[in-house]
Amino acid sequence: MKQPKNQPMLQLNDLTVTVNNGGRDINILNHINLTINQGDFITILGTNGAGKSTLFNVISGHLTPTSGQILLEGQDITKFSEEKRAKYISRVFQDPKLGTAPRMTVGENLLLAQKRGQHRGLGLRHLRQRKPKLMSELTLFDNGMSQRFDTATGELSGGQRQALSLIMAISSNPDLLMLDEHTAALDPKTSTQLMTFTNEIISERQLTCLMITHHLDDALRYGNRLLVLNAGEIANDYSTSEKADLTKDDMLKFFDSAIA
Amino acid sequence: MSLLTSAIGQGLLYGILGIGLFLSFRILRFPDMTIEGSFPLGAAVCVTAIVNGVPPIVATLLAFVAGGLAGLATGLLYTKGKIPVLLAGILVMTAIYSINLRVMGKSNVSLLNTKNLFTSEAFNNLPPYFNSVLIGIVVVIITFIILTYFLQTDLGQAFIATGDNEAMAKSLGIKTDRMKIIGLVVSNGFVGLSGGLLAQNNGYADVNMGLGVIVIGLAAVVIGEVVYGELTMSQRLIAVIFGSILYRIVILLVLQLGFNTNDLKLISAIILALALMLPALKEKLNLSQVLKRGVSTHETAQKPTNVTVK
Repeated sequence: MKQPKNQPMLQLNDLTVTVNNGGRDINILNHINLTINQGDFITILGTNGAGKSTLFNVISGHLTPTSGQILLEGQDITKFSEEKRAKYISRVFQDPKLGTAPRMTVGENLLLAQKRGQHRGLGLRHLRQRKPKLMSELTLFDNGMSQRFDTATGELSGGQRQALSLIMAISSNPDLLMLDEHTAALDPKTSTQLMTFTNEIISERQLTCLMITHHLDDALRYGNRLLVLNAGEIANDYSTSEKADLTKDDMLKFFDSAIA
Repeated sequence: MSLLTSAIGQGLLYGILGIGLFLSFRILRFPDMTIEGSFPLGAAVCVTAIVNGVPPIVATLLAFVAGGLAGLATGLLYTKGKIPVLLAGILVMTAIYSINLRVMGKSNVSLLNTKNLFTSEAFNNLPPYFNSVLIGIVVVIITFIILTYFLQTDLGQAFIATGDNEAMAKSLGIKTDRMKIIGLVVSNGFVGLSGGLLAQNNGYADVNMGLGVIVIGLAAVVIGEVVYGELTMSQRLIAVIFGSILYRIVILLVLQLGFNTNDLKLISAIILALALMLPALKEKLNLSQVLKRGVSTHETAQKPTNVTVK
């Protein structure tokens, strides 16, 4: 982007999303103010209905905020469509089905991601010529996917699909990476592997990342900041040092009181 | 013999319709009813143009353009007007009925005593119906080359991805509304082309000739899939053409058995229903599954799960 550099990566100013539920207006997001700096890796915790997914949907452009402003490196993107924001913001969903096109092959899916946010014209896609580059991305995380370059992604395991979704999300080094419980649908072993890989690649490439998780351990272990959402508001924003002092029990206590 | 030749010729020409439907029905997964309008529209425009002295080849291309415009109308109603695609197609199809009457000035226009693609002198020395086979093969080959190329381009891949997983396509910055419109335009363009060619082959255009063509097109798509099973994208286009020819031969056989032509639509529907039910029947009978994704219904809604409001 052409904005001056030392702007925060993302700024949310007084962001509110209101829905009408049975004649009553409810703020799913209630006047959120948040500044995300370059290289921040923020984990997000919150009970169901706390507004985590709504927050992601608003940032990605899937949902239009009722009021408030979203700035990406100083540029107001509040009115940008989801497709337009995709150039800067990439996202991995919880459901493995959502991240890849099932009838297209691994290679074809990766190729689609290479052109994230770019013009797609009538030039040939050149899958064969681009295969070496695509393969080098696939082998970043070796879980047997590189042997399945020409397999339809619908035939991959959930873990492989999520890994592919993540590789696709980072392949063009997005300004902001959003992970929406991307390991939640996987078995414990696969989930741990993918989370370790996620952490490695984020620190290696110094990506700015928001990660929703339900794993208290993951939320505490990874990232340099921890946000706790409750009832559409940011209940806590822990810095690296504060986060280091937090224990799982602190978090559990918080959730107990939040539910009550 | 000449009956079989005729069936093959008709199969090739209807195969173009099948390919058009393949783009909307299979790639985008749209139940696009527009084709019942764009097919006779292509025929009406083509025949009217020829009767008014337009060179047949230009008239044939006009049929494509007219069909494409019908697809554009549906695409805009669907993406911008937010009308469900099935209803948008029905609206356009209904509207086109009046447009066809305007274009032709009456409900039926004959090509008697005019030159068209199928009455060219080049075909004079050929046995009967070979003209439709030859023209059919040429048009099918051109269509195949254009579409195979298109589907291998970045735009074509974005188009396929839109039909395959819209949420993912959007998240990669693909303008999915635009892809849907392009798909409907191209799809209905080929349907209009098919209508224009068949009208020339039959020697007339009729305002009612669109009735039931969706069944004919779907039969081509589905029979091709039933017979050939798992295929690559370009092979599937060929399978549609073979499906269309097979369907014509089946119809021919049915008529040879002594059925009345008045029963044709009923028979068409039954053939298609059987082809569509085959996977369910196979599963019931516990036979090995030859057909996989082709005929089975896909998981429908593919949207982020936790979207609350829009």
